[in-house]
Amino acid sequence: MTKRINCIIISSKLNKKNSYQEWWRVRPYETRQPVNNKVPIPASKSIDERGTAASFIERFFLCKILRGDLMIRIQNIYKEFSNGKEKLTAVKNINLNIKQGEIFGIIGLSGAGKSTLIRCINRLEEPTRGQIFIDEVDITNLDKETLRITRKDIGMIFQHFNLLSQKTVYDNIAFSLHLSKMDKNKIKQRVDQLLKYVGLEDKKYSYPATLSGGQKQRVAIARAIANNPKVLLSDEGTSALDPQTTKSILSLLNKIRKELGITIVMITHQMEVVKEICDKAAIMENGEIVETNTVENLFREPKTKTAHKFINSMHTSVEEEIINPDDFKGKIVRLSFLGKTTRKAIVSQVIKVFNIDINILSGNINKLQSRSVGHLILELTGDELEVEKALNYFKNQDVTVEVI
Amino acid sequence: MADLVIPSLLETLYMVAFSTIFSLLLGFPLGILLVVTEKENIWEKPKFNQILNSIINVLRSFPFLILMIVIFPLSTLLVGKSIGTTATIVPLSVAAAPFVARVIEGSLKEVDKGVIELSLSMGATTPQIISKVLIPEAMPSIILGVTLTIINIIGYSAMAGAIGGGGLGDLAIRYGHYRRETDVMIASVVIIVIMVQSIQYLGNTLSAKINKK
Repeated sequence: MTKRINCIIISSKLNKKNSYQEWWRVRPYETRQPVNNKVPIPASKSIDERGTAASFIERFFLCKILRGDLMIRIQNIYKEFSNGKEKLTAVKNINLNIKQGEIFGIIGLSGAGKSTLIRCINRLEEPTRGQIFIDEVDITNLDKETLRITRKDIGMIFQHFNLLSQKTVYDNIAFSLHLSKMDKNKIKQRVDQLLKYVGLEDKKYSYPATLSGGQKQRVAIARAIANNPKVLLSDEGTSALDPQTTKSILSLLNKIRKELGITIVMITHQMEVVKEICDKAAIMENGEIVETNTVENLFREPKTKTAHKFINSMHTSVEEEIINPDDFKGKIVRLSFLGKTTRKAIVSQVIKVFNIDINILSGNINKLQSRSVGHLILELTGDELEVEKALNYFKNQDVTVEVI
Repeated sequence: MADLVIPSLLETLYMVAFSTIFSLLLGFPLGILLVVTEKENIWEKPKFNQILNSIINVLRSFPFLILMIVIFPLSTLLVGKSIGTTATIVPLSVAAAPFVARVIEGSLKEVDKGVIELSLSMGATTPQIISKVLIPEAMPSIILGVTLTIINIIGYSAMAGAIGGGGLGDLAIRYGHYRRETDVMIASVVIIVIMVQSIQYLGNTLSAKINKK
């Protein structure tokens, strides 16, 4: 099987490295309809000519390989709201690829369109244009009934929990199972299992009104994953919680991703959330994504102003804006380290090697999902040439240097 | 006096009980339709919603006495006569149904939009949302609404007495007013007041008891 797939890849002259993009270019637009809502047929002749069941399976795996197990693909999504005469574009030309098992953060200020975007993913909001594929099913192309059934694969949690206030914790979690008309005994088993998973066994017969915010969100999470969804959408899921509770909810989400392999898309306006658990993040502003990167790179080298602002919003001690380079004699630089370099004594080495003085103005280290990112703002005084050499030294040590 | 009041009380109870049941049967589905067919709701049918709204408004603005007379033919058709306690159930139900529809509409609209959104995100069908989310979530409020309906029907039933409907209203008018037997008048009024008070009390208690919010 593997051999044959390899052979197909070669025969269709697809470069494995960026095969995923290539693959789409090969096929004409009209054929981009999913076959049996599962796998689109590639246009490459060698595959099409066979047209047997066996080749269908091959195609399925071929797609998986070519795409690197993408769970969500958002392509050119637009969402326009028209309010009589006025037309408002809430979401503009969004393109995102989210891998299976990834925690993907979408961060932006309120009104940036992030909530509209996440609601387009399960079509609570109908996108005006564009396509969204979830596990290679074009969500935007489904009829109402198929969409309804597909939604069972997409769990969602909300800022205000949206629990059924008149039902017990048990019934709230059982809700989606009841909707699927699952057998009563099975429901009981599953709910007990979920209660244990989120750590609320003792609250089984409590009503939501008696729970704390964190407990409510745990119930909501249990309910959202009850149907074993492929994707979990979190629409500001931690925004109504205090920092301590936020952390515990985030670690629960991380556990879900690790143990159940559920892909998680998180909308948030808190950089702390992105820092804590996201692998990749997109920054949204005015309906557009201005920057997408892994969280490490985002913290190390934010490219846009908005990204800078979000990262700075976390540094409660010293805001960068407060530091005015004109107030200092020396050169003000901002160093960003990643991973191992955070543990090296680079600054003291520089002082020893070069004939300059270093004054530390501010610094911090942020622990990210996998690694840590450190920032230092330094004032370098001394001979200009020496300062220049020192900066080069920093750069050679895999430290990002930015002169303010 | 007891032999006058007790049969009238029973008549009133009979009228109110059946009218409540029928008006709920008629009005409850209408109330649900008013909500779900609304714009941007789960079963959006704006045209239908508009028509239903106008019909309910027309029925609601009909003065009860006139509605009763207009409905005489319908009563005759359904129960064989247009006068009497049983016959009065027909106009009472018809008059109360649009009221029930509005009350139910109000209760269902109180349900948090987020919960409906959640149900949609979980792949619930429209009937499932109505039966498993909207109605259970609105239940405390619906009970208060039904209480209000019963009290309204008691009021209407007293009025219906004036044109041969029987019951306590009839008693108060015939004996209390025309024959100037003040004690009968007072007795009927006191009984009606007690009825209204106790129903309100029961409704409030029940609603508070089942409300878990």
